[in-house]
Amino acid sequence: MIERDEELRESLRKWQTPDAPASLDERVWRSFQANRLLSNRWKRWALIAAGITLAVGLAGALLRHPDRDQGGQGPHRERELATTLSAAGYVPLDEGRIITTTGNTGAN
Amino acid sequence: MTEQAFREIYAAHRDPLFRFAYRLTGSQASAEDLVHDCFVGLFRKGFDPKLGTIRTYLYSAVRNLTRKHYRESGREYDLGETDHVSVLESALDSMVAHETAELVRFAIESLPPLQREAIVLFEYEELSLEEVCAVVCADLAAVKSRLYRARERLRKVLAPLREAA
Repeated sequence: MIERDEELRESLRKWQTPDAPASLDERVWRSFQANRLLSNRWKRWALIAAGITLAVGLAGALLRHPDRDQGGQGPHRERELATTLSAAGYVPLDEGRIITTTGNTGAN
Repeated sequence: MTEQAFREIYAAHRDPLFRFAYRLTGSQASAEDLVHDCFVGLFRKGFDPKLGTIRTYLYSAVRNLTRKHYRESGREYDLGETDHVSVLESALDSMVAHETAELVRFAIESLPPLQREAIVLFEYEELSLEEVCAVVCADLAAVKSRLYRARERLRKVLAPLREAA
């Protein structure tokens, strides 16, 4: 343990420092307020950015699934339709003539 | 950190930190800048109680800012402990007529930085040895050694003053 040397301390005490100037208070408070303002502004921008990101994400998800509102069965349904095609009851056309007309076919 | 908490910390530590910075730099303007930057750092980064007490944290911040200040101004905050006594002795001759306070100031400012900060924290700011260790990030033996050497030098330099008293 280092003991206090009172005699030396008394000599050292003869060097007094000036008081902290009032300008220090002003500077610190100005910086403090500016920092709070900046911090609030950042918070606001962060919220806006988060909102935009969310909206873009949702829009992207909806675009990727355009028929999501039809039960989410778009591609599957197409495949089902294709596989249920049946030739039952199919009647081919009789032989016939194909008449082509050109020009005005409206009433004369 | 709330404004109220910050106000309380500022009110409690403003003057001691200013004195500390002033005694390390010898300049009122520099001390003001350093203390300002110290508090700006406090409200931007906050204080983690796991790192110690708010007191040692703030002294440590001022100390680090002082070192940075010395580096940026092209003056090295000498981490060595070069013997400045010979410079001091010659300067002392021309200071006989000067005021006592100036002599003490000169004696403190002429100490190597590590000894200076130790003596200022221990003798002027009355920090305990453990607190000094925390502020200067050194172990007890190193701090004791710095204090011992600083006191020896100061006793030697201030001997005429003490004899006159």
